[in-house]
Amino acid sequence: MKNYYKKRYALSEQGAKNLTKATLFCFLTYCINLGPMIILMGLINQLVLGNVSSTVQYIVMAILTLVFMYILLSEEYVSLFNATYKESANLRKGIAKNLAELPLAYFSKHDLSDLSQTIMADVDRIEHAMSHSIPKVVGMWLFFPLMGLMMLIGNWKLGLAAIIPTLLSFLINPLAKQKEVSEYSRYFNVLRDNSELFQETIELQQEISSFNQSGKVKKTLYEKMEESERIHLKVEIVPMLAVGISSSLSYISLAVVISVGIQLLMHNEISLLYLIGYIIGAIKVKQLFDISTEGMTEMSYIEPAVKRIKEMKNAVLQEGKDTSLSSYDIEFKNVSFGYNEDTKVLKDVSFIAKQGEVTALVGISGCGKTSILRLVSRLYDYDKGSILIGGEDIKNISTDSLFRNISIVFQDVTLFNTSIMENIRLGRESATDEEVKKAAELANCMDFIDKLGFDTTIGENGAELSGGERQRLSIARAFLKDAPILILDEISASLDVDNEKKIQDSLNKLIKDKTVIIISHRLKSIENVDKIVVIDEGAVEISGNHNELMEHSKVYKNLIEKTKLAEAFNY
Amino acid sequence: MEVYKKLFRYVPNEKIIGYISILLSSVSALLMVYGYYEIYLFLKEAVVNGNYKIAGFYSARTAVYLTISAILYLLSGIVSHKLAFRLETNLRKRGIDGLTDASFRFFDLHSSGYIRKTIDDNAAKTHMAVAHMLPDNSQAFLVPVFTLILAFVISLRVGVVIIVLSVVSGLILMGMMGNKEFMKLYQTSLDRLSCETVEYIRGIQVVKIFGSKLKSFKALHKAIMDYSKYAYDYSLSCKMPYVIYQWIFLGLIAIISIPLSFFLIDVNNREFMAVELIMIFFLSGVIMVSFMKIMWASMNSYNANFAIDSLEGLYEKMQEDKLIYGNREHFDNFNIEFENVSFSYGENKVLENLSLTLEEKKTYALVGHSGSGKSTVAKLLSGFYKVDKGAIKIGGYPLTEYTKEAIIHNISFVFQDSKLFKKSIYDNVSLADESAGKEEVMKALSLAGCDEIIKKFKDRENTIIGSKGVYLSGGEKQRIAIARAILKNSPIVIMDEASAAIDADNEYELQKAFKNLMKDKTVIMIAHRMTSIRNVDEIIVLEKGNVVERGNNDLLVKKQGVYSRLLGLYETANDWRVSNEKLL
Repeated sequence: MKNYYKKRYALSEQGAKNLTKATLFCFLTYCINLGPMIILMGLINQLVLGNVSSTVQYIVMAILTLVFMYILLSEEYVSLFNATYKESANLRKGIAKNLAELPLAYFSKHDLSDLSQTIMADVDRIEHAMSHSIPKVVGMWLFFPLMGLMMLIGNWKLGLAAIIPTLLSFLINPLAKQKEVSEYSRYFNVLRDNSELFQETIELQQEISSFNQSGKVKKTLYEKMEESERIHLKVEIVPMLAVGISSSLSYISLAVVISVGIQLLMHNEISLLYLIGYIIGAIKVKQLFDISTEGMTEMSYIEPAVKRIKEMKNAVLQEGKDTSLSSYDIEFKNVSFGYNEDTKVLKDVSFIAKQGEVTALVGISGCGKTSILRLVSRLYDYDKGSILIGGEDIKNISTDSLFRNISIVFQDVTLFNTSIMENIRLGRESATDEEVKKAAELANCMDFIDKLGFDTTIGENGAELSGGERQRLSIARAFLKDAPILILDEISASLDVDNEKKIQDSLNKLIKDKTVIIISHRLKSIENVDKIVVIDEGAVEISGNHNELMEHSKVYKNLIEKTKLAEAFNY
Repeated sequence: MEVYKKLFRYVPNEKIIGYISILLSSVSALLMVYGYYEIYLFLKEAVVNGNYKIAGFYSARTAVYLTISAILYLLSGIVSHKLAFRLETNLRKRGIDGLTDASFRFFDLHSSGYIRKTIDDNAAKTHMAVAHMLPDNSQAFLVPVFTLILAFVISLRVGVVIIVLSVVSGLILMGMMGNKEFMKLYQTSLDRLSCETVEYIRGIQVVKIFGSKLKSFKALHKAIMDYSKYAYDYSLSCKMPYVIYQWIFLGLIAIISIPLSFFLIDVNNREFMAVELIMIFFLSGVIMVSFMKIMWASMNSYNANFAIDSLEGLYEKMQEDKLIYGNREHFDNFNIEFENVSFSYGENKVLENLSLTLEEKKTYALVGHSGSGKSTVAKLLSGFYKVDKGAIKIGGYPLTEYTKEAIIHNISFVFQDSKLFKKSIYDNVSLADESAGKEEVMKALSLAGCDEIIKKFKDRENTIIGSKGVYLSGGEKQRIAIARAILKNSPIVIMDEASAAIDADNEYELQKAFKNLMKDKTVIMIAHRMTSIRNVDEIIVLEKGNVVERGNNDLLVKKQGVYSRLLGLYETANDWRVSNEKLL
């Protein structure tokens, strides 16, 4: 059972063990329910048939039952919640660790807030089911055959009458669920389409309003909603009926027992006491079944949550060994890459970014520059060819050791809701306060830090700071980290002129003696770099310094000319 | 009850279905307990009177009542599902209505993903809760009441036992809910856990890149452990009452048997007492199951309530900012006036008492730092925002006095994040003026510099946006959006000039396209490239939501104020070069 739990609900070893324990207690609690039934039978035996038992016998029996029942109930309770909350903590920790090990591509593909909400809600749901449903229902599955067997041995006809309705209820439920799963995938497609349509409508809101499309869009959406309601109804009718019939069977179970029982009694196949015994048994079975129906429903509701968590646990991790690099040339050898199988974004890209030099990637939007940066930083992994750093293929370098050697300054900066000091220290955890301050100075952060103080908490995702300030903090991190490879992604794109100058000044300090790869739309800013690689439609057109390219590169020359035109442009 | 009212508001036409479902389920509950009464009669006949024939008759009646009860319950479920489907659809429709009415501020403040998820998830949750709530809740509450009555019908003794049992266990359960202090701790730790998770996941990329896994995990780890501890403590605080509650129910017969065993010998009507005991055993079980169902039912109600509250919260926010229109259909002229306008995003005041007049047929450039309010001024002019205070007037009347159509017709805007519909390039443009012929559409595309874009694709202007292999860069999309605005030909144009995020090739094309769009219009533009606005009629410099300088380029340069400082900075930044010490 432990292994079943472990596999079924993606639990830890300990969690499965605890849950098994809780299940056994549930089972024992069900068993102790036989105590009052035996007492009741004794009482009836005496009252109806006059077979007297002594008072002491009753009292001993009753006290034993009550004491055991109390002990079992409290043990059951403790083991249920102990198992649950320990395991849900394990689950959460496991998921957190798991997330940290996932390839960064995973985060590029999933919406983060969506992801975190889903995970939270999923664990919540599993947590509730573990404390309220799973052990009880499984305990019931264990107890029911025991009870059924006892009843069948006594009188198989009456036993069948008592068991069959409940047994059918049990069986119909999973059958209905299977049907539901297959039908549901059809409805799921409709649901997904609607979701996409909704999302699109919200995103296009400006356009819809300003071109007076509201009426039309509303009509389409309304129709879609009506249609999906029809499909949903069709899909759900079968499982709904099944569940309904299943619970109806429990309604009539008692009627079946007494009807069959009275017939048998009239034909003298059983005695009155027997009949009463079976009625009491049937009452108990029905009661236990009724208590577990909601639990069974809940268990089927958590399926998708379990599936999502399993999927994440099974996601492919990025492999690679710990490697210490001694040189830091970055070499692309015939690299090809696409975000999906249909479209290649990079075709046969080859170039070298030398240590101690600045290499700039240039090209029009959509040419593949950003994809190149993503490949170097293993936000995605390339499809063909190879990328070497200091002669090692990056696929063989563990991400940990890779990132030890790379600093990346992106367009958008993620900050944490802690102090400015801690946010910078993220660059190198062992750094002293003095070193952090030095880095902040080098990154030209002091003007706003002087105002706020190093210990100021900067709000969720640094909400208190302006775009330029955020960017400079991220440059301060890079200073602190002082990695031999530096990647700069169009970092001054969305800033004001005021900030931009400051950021540029700090950058010039930062890039000294490193392997630097830079993307910038502002061609003038990279005129003096050691090497410019011109990318055109996913392939390297040519590379060289500014003067060489002005002579040989059509694309580069065109861009320079257009820059001049744009600069001279007047509205 | 409150929750029913709330839910039924969204299905005014199908309310009756809801009542039918409740009625069916109530009758089902009544018949069920009546079936139990028949079981009692059966037992009495069989055990007390020993008349098996009549007992057989009662067993048949039991079967009939319970079967009817089951069928009614089934029907109630089907009907409630039907209602739940309707409800879900209507809730979504309400969401759609709200979306089309809400002001753009709502969309600025809430991400599209959040809006979609809130509507999608909660509509589905409401469906689920309602489908089960209607049939189950009425049963959960009615069955114990009918059962109590039945108990008293059987005999006073049975009645008393069952009522004492119900009251005692009810009180114990209430005691369980009473741990407010624990509940609060639990809630806070749950909220903290949720915050930490979000922050942790957001930070993973950075954390990974900087290789400092442990630290941010530490905070989350603590939140997880705290939550787990408080949740466990909370559940332990409920242990006593819950265990005793179950113990009383399950052990009832054992408890009764102790005092009873002393009097067994002297009982008069022994057989009847046996029946009473069986019925106590039976009915106490029924009550226990009902209590469990009440707990699940209140969870269902709570879920439904929570889901509907989340939806209504969102819809309310949409309505708060609902745009107001009047019935003025024509603009006398296109002079623009901001009259003491205040505007904020939540707590964040962007504009306060801003006054500003702009003349028609002139071109204005807005200049300032991020956060100066320049984009807000431009956005407000689109006519899709509601100001907090003051008024924006065009042609002498506030925007709220014009019809929606008039505003749409006379104001065009092209902002940086222009989006296109998943239609052909041609349809994306032609929707701006449905009466326009092919020639006009093609001319607009051409004026916006889209010829080159169209040439790239095999299907030319009929290429569907977003289909396989169709990639358009931000600048290219914006050019198509400009073509759309050119075709619309509104007298007022609001635009956000291309920022530095765009490559030179695209930028120059965009500049030309914008210039074509601006011809003979009243233009308000947000300027990024300071050099391109030298010839505009007037430059308006904003700082912290106020106009600090205005005038043409020459005048402002001479003034040596904010504008000239910004210009200087711009030129140095633009001239900056990555320098490698080695080269110097």
